[in-house]
Amino acid sequence: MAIEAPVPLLVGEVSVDVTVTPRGQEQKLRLGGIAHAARGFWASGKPFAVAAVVPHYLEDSARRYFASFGCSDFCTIGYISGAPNVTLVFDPTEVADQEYDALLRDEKSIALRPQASIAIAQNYTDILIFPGSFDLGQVCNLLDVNARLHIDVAYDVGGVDTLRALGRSISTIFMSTSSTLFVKIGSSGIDELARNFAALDPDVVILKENRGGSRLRDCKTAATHSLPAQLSTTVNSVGVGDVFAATYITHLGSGPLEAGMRATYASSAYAQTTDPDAFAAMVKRDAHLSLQEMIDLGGTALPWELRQRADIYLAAPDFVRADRRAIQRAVSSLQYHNFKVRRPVQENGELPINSDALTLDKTYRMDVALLDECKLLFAVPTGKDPGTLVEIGLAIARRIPVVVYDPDRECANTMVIAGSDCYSADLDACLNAVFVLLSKTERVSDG
Amino acid sequence: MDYFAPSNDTGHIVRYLEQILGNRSRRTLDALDLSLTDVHTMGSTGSGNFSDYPRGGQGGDDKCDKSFSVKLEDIEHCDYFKNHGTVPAVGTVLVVAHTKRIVAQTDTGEIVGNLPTSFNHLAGCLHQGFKYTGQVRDSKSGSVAIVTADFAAEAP
Repeated sequence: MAIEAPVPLLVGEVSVDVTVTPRGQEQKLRLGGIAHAARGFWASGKPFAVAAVVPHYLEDSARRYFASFGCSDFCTIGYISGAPNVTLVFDPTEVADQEYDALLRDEKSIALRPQASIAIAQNYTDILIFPGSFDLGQVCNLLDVNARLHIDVAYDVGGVDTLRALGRSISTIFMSTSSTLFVKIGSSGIDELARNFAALDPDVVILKENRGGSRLRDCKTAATHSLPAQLSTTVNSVGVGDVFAATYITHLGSGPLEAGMRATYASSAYAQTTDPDAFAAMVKRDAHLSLQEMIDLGGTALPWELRQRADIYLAAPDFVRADRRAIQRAVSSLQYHNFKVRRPVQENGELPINSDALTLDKTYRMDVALLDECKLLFAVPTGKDPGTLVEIGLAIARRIPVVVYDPDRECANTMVIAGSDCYSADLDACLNAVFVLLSKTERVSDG
Repeated sequence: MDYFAPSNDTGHIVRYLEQILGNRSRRTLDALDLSLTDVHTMGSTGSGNFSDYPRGGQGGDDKCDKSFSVKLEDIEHCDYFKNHGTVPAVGTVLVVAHTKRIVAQTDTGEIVGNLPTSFNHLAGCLHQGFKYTGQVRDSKSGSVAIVTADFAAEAP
């Protein structure tokens, strides 16, 4: 009789994600919460079991849905009351903060089912937990004490003390730069993060750094491995981190590094489509690659803390009386990803109309000096601003990488398009370009 | 459209347009200003029910069978430039291969340049038997060597 491969247990809330689209476009709705990780297991061909916290109304459809993705056992370990567990997503591409809005979140309560421990007290060797509004300690008490715990601590974990109170080691800790906990305990980098989690005796700490890739700290050897991002056009990035975690667990038998690399490819695929079959086909395609091939192919790696060293010159009509909505979108996006945006108009001053030539000359020289300090120029040439166009030309001449975000295509001109490294009306494409270009610069400066 | 990395994931509507346009150059499609979000209509849509169930392999990965245009990278560090001290002429036939990186090489196997890492998905496509053949659209030696090329996909 063949020995069946162990099935991982997936633990967390089931929710409904609604992507809020502009007026006139059809809304996009799909099952969220641990459903993202479930799709990750399924695409990798890994059966899994589920211990779910779910609203009553969603239980049957969730059970049906998970079964279609290869869920071998679905156990409801708690019920959500007072809220529908519906999350509104306003920026599915995460060019800036995704602005999650959970409906009726203040009315939400959870009643766990202690009798569920009987149903889930099987010998799961690996348990992947996505904390939520439920009591993490109580849920962990339902789980097999010998199982390896893997926890994504990015959301709904107040601090390291919450995890320490579980009274058991955590094999894998997943963290994201989007997390408020990361800002509190790890924003200086992976070393600080590993130090703060040391009391939990993890085997591995993984920091997911959005478009800048991920880093994997093997806590047993103290080695840190880069997992470069595979950037492409983002359709919907909600749940990519969950897919990363599920894929990592699926391939853990091949070692943490290979598991991490495969997780990177799978999460990239998940961001590119909301069609599960297309997603699975991409994962299947990339499964042909060996670990060494994935390492050699490279990708985009730009650690969170290093982004503060790469000053970005903002070329734009950043004037008080100008329409600065597009400029603000760009700045918010860059700052959300921890880039240091240098705004010459704010740093060197906005000159009044009819300023004399010497004043203009001084400001011009200060702006050019600022440009020379920067690793990249990001232009938003709204209103065909002549100053912005000159700054683009200066940067091209200096071989400073140029990214032009032109939302209304006002400057779709040969010199602007061909002279810049990226010209696009799509902020997502421009943001990818910033990561790719600065990642290359970082590689060069590191020798 | 994104001029940084020409999109090769344009979905079924663009495939249809390529057919009716006789698979002309990518610029023709760019002129129509179709973005990926315009053509990506699959997955759960609308708010009436959960419709994104697996369809048993229907749909699938449409990134491998797309033609594309690309500006090559690292040209001065590659075989062709080292061997000849220049870049290949316009019209030179190139094929895409997977060495360590995804590269464009001549039919005699000299590597002309790397493709940007945004084309890394071609590694999996090549493993699946897809082939990519094309030619140099533009090339220039000088302080910075430049080679751009157009490639067509051939399914296994």
